[in-house]
Order: sequence, then C-alpha cells, then structure tokens
Amino acid sequence: MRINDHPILSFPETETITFSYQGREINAKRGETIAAALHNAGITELRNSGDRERGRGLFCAIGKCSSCLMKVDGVPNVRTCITMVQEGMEVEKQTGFPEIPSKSTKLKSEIIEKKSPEVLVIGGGPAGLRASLTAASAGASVLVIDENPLLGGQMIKQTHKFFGSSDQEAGERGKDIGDRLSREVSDHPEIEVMTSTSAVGIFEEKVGIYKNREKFLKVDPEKTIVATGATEDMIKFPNNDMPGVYGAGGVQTLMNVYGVKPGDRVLMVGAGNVGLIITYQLLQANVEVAAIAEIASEIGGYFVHAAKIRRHGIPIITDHRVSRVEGTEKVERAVIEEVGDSGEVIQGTEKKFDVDVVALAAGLSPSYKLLNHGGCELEFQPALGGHVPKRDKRMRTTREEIYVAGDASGIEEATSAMLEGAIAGADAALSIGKGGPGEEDIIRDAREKLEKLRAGSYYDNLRSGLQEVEKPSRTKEQ
Amino acid sequence: MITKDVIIIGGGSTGLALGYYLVNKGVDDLLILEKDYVGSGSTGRCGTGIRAQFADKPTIRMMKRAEANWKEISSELDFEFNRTGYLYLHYTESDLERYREMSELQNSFGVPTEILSPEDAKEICDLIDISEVKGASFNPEDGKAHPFDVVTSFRKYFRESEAELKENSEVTSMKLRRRKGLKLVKTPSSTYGAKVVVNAAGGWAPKLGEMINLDIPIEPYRHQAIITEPFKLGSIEPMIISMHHGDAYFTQTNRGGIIGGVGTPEDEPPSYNMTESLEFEKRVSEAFASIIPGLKHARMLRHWAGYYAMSPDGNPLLGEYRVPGHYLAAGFSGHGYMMAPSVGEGLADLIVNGQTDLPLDYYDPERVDRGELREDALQMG
Amino acid sequence: MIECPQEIPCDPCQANCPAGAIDLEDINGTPTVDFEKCTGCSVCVESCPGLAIFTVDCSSEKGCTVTIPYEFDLPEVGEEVIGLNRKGEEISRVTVTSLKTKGDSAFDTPTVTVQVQEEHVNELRNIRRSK
Ligand SMILES: Cc1cc2nc3c(=O)[nH]c(=O)nc-3n(C[C@H](O)[C@H](O)[C@H](O)COP(=O)(O)OP(=O)(O)OC[C@H]3O[C@@H](n4cnc5c(N)ncnc54)[C@H](O)[C@@H]3O)c2cc1C
Ligand SMILES: Cc1cc2nc3c(=O)[nH]c(=O)nc-3n(C[C@H](O)[C@H](O)[C@H](O)COP(=O)(O)OP(=O)(O)OC[C@H]3O[C@@H](n4cnc5c(N)ncnc54)[C@H](O)[C@@H]3O)c2cc1C
Ligand code: SF4
Ligand code: SF4
Repeated sequence: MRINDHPILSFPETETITFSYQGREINAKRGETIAAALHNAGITELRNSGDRERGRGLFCAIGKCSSCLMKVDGVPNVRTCITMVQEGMEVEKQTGFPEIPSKSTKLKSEIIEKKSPEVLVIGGGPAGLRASLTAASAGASVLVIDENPLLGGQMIKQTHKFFGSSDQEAGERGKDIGDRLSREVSDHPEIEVMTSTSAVGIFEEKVGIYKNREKFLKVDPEKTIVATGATEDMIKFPNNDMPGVYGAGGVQTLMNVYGVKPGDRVLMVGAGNVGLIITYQLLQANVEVAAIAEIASEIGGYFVHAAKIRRHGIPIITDHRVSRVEGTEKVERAVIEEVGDSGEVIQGTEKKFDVDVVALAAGLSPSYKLLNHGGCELEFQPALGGHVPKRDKRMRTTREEIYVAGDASGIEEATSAMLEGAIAGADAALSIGKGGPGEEDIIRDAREKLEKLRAGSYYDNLRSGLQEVEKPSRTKEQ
Repeated sequence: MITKDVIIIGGGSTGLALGYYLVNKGVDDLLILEKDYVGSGSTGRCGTGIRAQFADKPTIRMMKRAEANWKEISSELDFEFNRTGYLYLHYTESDLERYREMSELQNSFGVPTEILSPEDAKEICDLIDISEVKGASFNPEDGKAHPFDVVTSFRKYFRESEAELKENSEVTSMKLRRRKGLKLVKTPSSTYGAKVVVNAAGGWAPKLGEMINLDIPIEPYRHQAIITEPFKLGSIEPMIISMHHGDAYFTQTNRGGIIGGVGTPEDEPPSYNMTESLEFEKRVSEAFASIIPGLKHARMLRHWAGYYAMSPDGNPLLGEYRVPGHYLAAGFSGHGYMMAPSVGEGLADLIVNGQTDLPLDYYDPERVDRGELREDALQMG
Repeated sequence: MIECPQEIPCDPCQANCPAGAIDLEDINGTPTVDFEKCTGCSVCVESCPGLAIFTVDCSSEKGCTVTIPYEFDLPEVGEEVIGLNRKGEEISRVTVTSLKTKGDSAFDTPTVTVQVQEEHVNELRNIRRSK
C-alpha cells in the first residue's frame, strides 16, 4: 500500500529492515514508524481495547491519543505511531489491558539527567520552531523538544500551498516551510533539538521530559514556551472505534509523511479546511474519495478549497451526519443521514457508502494539558477550539515563566502560529536580559501582522474569542 | 434562616460516612455542606487502602469495625470493597521482628494478620522481586475501595434519603452561641442554624476554627500520589507496602491503574500547597521499580497532591470540642478514609445517644488541651 | 479568471503579477483583475495557493485556451483529455496545447493549457486523463 507516484512528494528509497509482528517477519523502511510499517503490510487492527476488547486501529498518528498502543520489545502501551521501527524489534498486539512485564526487557534503563537551557520550547511545530529561532537569535540558549520523530509539527504533511501574506511564507507549500524552519533550527548553534521526546509535566521547579525508550530528564529552564499544537476531535456514532476510522490528520500523516495509503476508498467527515484539503490530498495520492459529509448547512472551509474538490466531481453533502459505520473487523461501510434544522435526523434519508476508511475532520482542540498542569489559568472558549490559557499580548500565561504559542493557544493557522512563536520567543529572550530593541520590533511587527491576518469577516468569532482570553499585559506595551 | 438538627461541614469520607450513620439512627433533618464536590478534598486523592494492621489497641479496634462496616455499606450502596489484603514487605530482620509482635497484638483483637516467608509473599503477588525480602505481614481482611465509587454512591444515597447533601456550598462564616444554643452556619447563598455542627473539613478544619476563634490543632501536610496506565486486572491484588523504600505503598484499582505513593520528606513544612513535584515522581518510580521490576516500564498517567491533616500526635480529633454541640471529626493523617465508617458510626452514636461502644475517648480532641498526647498511630505514605 | 470570493488573508496573486493587473484592497480583500493590463502570462495561476485562478485566452486566431493549475499525474502535450466543469462533470474532449511541470512553474504549481471551444471557456476548470 505504498504510494509510488505522487505529483508533489517523493518518498526516497531507504534501507529495508525487518521486525517481527506476532512472531511473523515484516519488512519496513528505516525511518518510518511501527504503525506506518504495519499499515503498509496491511495490518490495521493494532490492538484490542482495554475493557471491551474491541479492535482498535490508528487514529491521530501523532502521539496524541491511545488508539495505537502495542507491546514493543516486551513493553506494553507503546505509542506505535510515534515510535520508529528498528531492526529486530518485537511487536505484539495487545488484547485487553496489558500485563505488567514480568521479566526484564531489552530496553536500556532510564537515567535521570539534568539540563538547564535558558528557554525550553515544548513542541517543534511552526510555533515552537519560530519561537526557538527568535529566542536563539536574541542570544538565549534554547532546548526544543518534540515527541514526534520529525520536527515540523503539522507542517510536514501539508503538501498544499499556504495562504497568507507574500512577505511571509505565503504561496509556499506547508511542508517546505516546515522543512526550512526545521533545518534552520537544527543548524543553529544555540539550539539543541531533541525529537521523540515528550514533556510529561510542568512542575513548580522543573519540567520533566522523557526521551522515548531511552531516558528521563529534568529540565530547569528560565522560561518555557508551550507550543504543543492540537488534538483531533472524535465524534460520536456507533462503531467509531473500529479500525478504519481515522482522524483526518492521521490519514494525512500516513500518506504524506510515510507514503502509505490509508485504504482504497474514503468517506471524509467534515467540510472545514482540514477536511477539504485532506480530501484533495487523498486524490493526489490516488485514493478514491466517495464523498464529504458535513453536518452543517454550509461548507466551513474556504471556497477555493471546496472548489478544488468539486471540480474533481467529489460530492460535498451538507446537512448530513454519520449515523454509523459497519463492518466485521474493520470499516466496510459508512452510513450517513440527513439532519433537519434543529438537528433532528430525517427518517428515510440514509445513504450508504462502501468505504474502508472514514476520516474525521470534525475539529481540533488545543493541547492544553501541560499548561493546566503547570498551573496556568485556562478558559473554555469554543471559538478557539476549547480550553485555552489566558495570556497577554506577549503570549505570557498567568504563570510568569510560561508562554504559549500556536494551536495550543487557540486553533488557527500555521501563519499565526509562527507569529505567536516569534512573539513568545522574543519576549522570553527579553525577559532574561537577552536581545534588545530588535526583539521589541519583532514583537510589534508580529502583532501588527496578526491583527491584519485576523481582520477579515471569516474571523469574526475568533476575534471575539481572543478578546476574552487576552488580558492586558502585565508590563506596558511599548 | 433554615434550621436543621445536624449540620456536617465537609463532604469527604468522614462527613459522608457520619451522615450515613446519622440517617441510619433516625436523624433525617441533616445537612452536609461541601465547598466543592464530594471527595474533592483528600478523600478523592487517597490511595484507596483500608487496613486494620495498626500498632495500638484503639486504632486496631476502630479499624476492625471499620472493615466490617465497609463490607456492609458497600453491599448496601453497591460499590466494590475488595478484601485483597495488605502485604507489608520487610527487608530487615528487625522490621520483621517488630511486625511479628504487632501481628500478635492484632491477632488478639481478631485481626488475622500472618507473617509470611518471602516465597509466600510471592505467591500473593508473583511480580514482586523477593531477592532482598526477609519476610512479610499479610492481613487478608484488609482491602481497598475506589474513592470515586464511594463518594458517588454516598451522593446517590443522600439524594434518595431525607437528608440533604449540598455541594458547591462553602461555609464562609460560623457563630456558635446564639439563640438557645443554635449554631449559625453561613454559605454565600444561605444561613443555617443547628443544634449540632460537625467540623469534618479535613485539612481545612482549622480554617473553620478561625471563623469562631477556636484554635484547632491540625496542620495540613502535602502528600502526593500517582496512578499509572491501566494493566490487566488482578495484576497486583493486595496493597503492597515497603517502609524500606521510603514508605512506598501501591495497589491496583478496579479500573486497572496502579495507584500509590511514597512518603513526604520529613522536612517539608505544613502548607496548603496542592501542587505536585517532579522529585516525587523520581522517588516513586525508583521505589515501585525496586519492589516490582516490571513497573519500571509503567507510565504514570496522573499525579496529584492532597493533605494529611495532622494533629499533634497523628491521631484524629473526634468528639465534642470546647462548645456543647460543636464536634470535631478531623486530623486523620494518612488513614481517615479507611477509618471513616467506624468514625461515622461512633460519632453518630455519641451525637444521638451520648455514648458508643467504640473507643472514641481515646480520640477526645480536648486531650491536646490537657497535654495527653497518644502514641503516633502506625503511619505510612 | 479569479474565483476567490471570500475575504481570506492572502495576497500572492497581487504581489506576483508582473503587470500589476490584480487589485486587492488589502490582504483580506477579494482580488479583481484589470483585463486591460493583464497580459495572460499565467504567473498568478502558478502563484495562487488556492488554485483559484485560471487564464482564458481567446486572443489567438486558433481559438481559445484555458490554463488550469493541475497537481496530478500530468498529461502530455497533444494528448486528448476530458474537460470537466466546476462540479467535475464532463463537458467535452479537449487537447493539451502546453504544460508546465512543477519544475518549470515559477511557483512550483504545474499548469496545463488546453484548447477549448469558446462556449466552454467559462465552464472548463479541470481535466481528467482518459486512460
Ligand atoms: C489539514 C490541515 C491543513 C492546514 N492548512 C493550513 C494552511 O493552509 N495554512 C495555515 O497557515 N495553516 C494550516 N493548517 C494549520 C497548521 O498546520 C497549524 O495551525 C499549525 O501547524 C499549528 O502549529 P503549532 O506549532 O501550534 O502546532 P503543531 O504543528 O501541531 O506542532 C505541535 C508539536 O508539538 C508536539 N508536542 C505536543 N505535545 C508535546 C509534548 N508533551 N512533548 C513534546 N512535544 C509535544 C507535537 O508532536 C507537534 O509536533 C492546517 C492544518 C491541517 C491539519
Ligand atoms: C496521597 C494520599 C494518599 C492517602 N491514602 C490513604 C489510604 O490509602 N487510606 C486511607 O485511609 N487514607 C489515605 N489518605 C488519607 C485520607 O485521604 C484522609 O485521611 C481522608 O480522606 C480524610 O477524609 P475527610 O473527609 O476527613 O477529609 P477530606 O476528604 O479532605 O474532606 C474534607 C472536605 O471538606 C471540605 N471543606 C473544607 N472547607 C470547607 C468549607 N469551609 N465549607 C464546606 N466544605 C469545606 C473540603 O472541600 C473537603 O471535601 C491519603 C491521603 C493522601 C493525601
Ligand atoms: S495572467 Fe499574468 S498579467 Fe494577468 S493577472 Fe495573472 S499574473 Fe497578472
Ligand atoms: S492568491 Fe489565490 S487565494 Fe490568494 S487572494 Fe489571490 S486568488 Fe485568492
């Protein structure tokens, strides 16, 4: 199920390695995750759920849910979507809750190490990368970590060109922007990068991070910038946990990052920008899309994105909800039904699609948990996607030494994420005595650009949501 | 003003169990006021453990009764109380000897604690690394109950009874002597009067004391706990204790997670701080992994802090305090959850009948005024 | 032809038009083309991230052509392909007169130019290879 010819992407040949799944040998490409390798081998049911023992497949593919947990080298509950496959690895399916390992495992033992960068950036998406570069350019020492194996966050799978202002990165493909930022960050002498590394908690004194399969570290930064992005939302319908129901972003990761087709025929749920764009990308990967079902009466995404899909003859069916998916072990069919003005289901309007993939593009929620743990005040703001931290215009949360940037501060776009990252990075540097007037200029300039970006009528809700959570700066803005 | 026969302040295990026994003894005109939600204090943050392995007679008696009561309440209110035992692991001969003596005392009160060989301990939980273990004590009648199950069962019980449980109702002021002994209790929305008021506010008990200018000798000490991702049920049945590993304790909940903690450093001062520390995670992982090596790979899902409400001698303050009709039921340090059903029963007896067959005298709060401190109860965590 | 009717924060079409033919009040405005100035160079087609611009050129005696952005498996020059409308419905068979690959394109969006009957120039917005 590898994608061989792609109009935009190329997936270079890498070394073939072998690992075992349930004792059976499987070939994989070096540099891909366990879940991607298994998908390529046609294995989509990765485990059985804890309490009901129902089959589960991949969902988010970026380490934010627990759908893909498997036993790897004797260790249970490993997130196989962000763990790279290695030669000779033993992968086993979990049924029910796993057993506590009884024997010692092949893993190295954890060492507790300490690090003290001036600025710690959690999350290597556009927000985190821009924050790292800005802080480091001002002279701060930076450690940036990301729990995925690759830097770039959601950018690495955006094969389409971004809107935005032409004096920034507009018109460039998301992937290229991500690659460029990642390179700049990796090459910067003041920035240390740790991938496959999760922040597990922001404590009073320190931040705890875990380098996957290796070690636990205490980080003692002066300032912390949380740029953890967002999590895809699940929606309720019977069998929504069946293998074959994916987050749309998960589908995108599989096909655009790892070059693996998620399936043969897809029903996309949700006609916001994410649903529209990923539908288009599925077509580019030569995967058939049966339709897009949207519960609202209108298409939420941009007109131009919808137009790109329509001219390929993909129907966008509004006023329809997913009523269920059907199948024995994995998705074989999806059923949608029309809903009336007050959300009631209109009987007799069922439409069935024979599909093996249902991709949910039903919204994103900010990944706020670390901020919550760190004691930053949160507020529920539907216009921003859920719980978001209160902050000032310099992206400082209610806890002085913690900043937020990007989707974690409210669901927006990569362009705004980068601008927020620049603000957070510049202010973090200034607050520890690094940088100077140049950094003030960066902040002022980024604020102006943000305001412009958010000025259109498309963003009315967003602006009013932001007004609620942005409290006045603690120090006067210059 | 709304008048009641009894008002209980605090919807933790103590307040809820007391309310339950009062209703059982016919006191229906009862109000429980809880500032947040039931279990939001230490109860919802506790380690789920219930034991009768103690070192002093009154506490052993209280806990023996508590365990019997837990069994009754759990079947009446329909929650799980699993008598899977407490397994104390001993790593030195002297500890083993001390616990052997303790087990004899416990046996004399009908608590069937046995001393086990390391191999027998492994029979009870085969994940334990017994290479350094010298022996163990085990009481099969000890057990565990999930506090979320317990408090929600009580909430349901009060919803169906005449008594009233009000959550999101913080007591903001109190007055003790007015109108023929009626005590006044105010929340932001109402004023209540009652002949009997019970302060069951856990670590916050002294704050209520301040409202009536009474110095309540209790201080809150932060204690932390963690829970791991869920594992196959039955992986760790008993509560496993090791004093040797920094007072470590852990067991598996009925949802599969491994819950537990280690002790707080002696030099940590009392405070209302409820944040977690990374240093704790380090100590907990080292301790758990030394006792059960496989736990090295268990991920912690959540980590939180609560209070041990500490009296000067580590034993609770139970009974009337200074003013007739003003009762204290607080200061339970690390064992107020397990004790709640016998505390509730005994105190309800005292309030309704003026006497009880349980040794509540031992916990008379005024002992502190008299300078009669008790031996510290066997603490852990 | 610019088919971009929403106020989205985007401006490459305006910024990159060599003839200054595209007007956009500000970044959130909707673009309009001054056809007096437009040379039909199709740079905007390549630069638009929304793939929302198409050039229609009826200046030649041979008839009209439509240039579309096309990020799929490219046809060959001279190949007969199926012309599709905005809903993806077939309208007619058309012939590819020229193309720009991802590499040739000024902004790495491949484009395909097809010969189209005049009555279809405002309808044809996509193609499909017939194989
Ligand atoms: C289909 C799709 C199309 C899009 N199209 C556009 C577009 O055209 N234009 C545009 O501007 N934007 C677009 N976006 C949005 C854009 O990709 C996001 O807004 C942007 O990536 C957000 O950046 P971020 O840095 O905040 O978060 P992310 O890019 O999500 O990065 C967050 C990173 O943090 C890491 N992380 C999270 N938690 C932890 C932890 N505890 N420890 C360590 N690391 C952690 C994650 O692994 C991740 O890599 C699109 C998004 C999608 C899904
Ligand atoms: C980490 C940890 C592990 C523990 N493990 C165990 C264990 O395994 N077994 C065991 O038996 N014990 C254990 N304990 C101890 C146990 O949790 C406590 O002793 C017990 O829960 C005390 O119950 P309580 O009802 O007295 O107090 P709490 O549960 O603290 O209840 C007091 C209630 O009063 C409320 N309140 C406070 N002020 C006001 C006000 N002004 N108005 C209204 N309401 C108010 C609070 O919100 C709170 O809900 C543990 C404690 C901790 C912290
Ligand atoms: S075709 Fe060329 S000249 Fe005409 S609007 Fe586009 S870029 Fe400008
Ligand atoms: S570049 Fe394309 S999407 Fe952007 S404003 Fe111009 S026409 Fe619209």
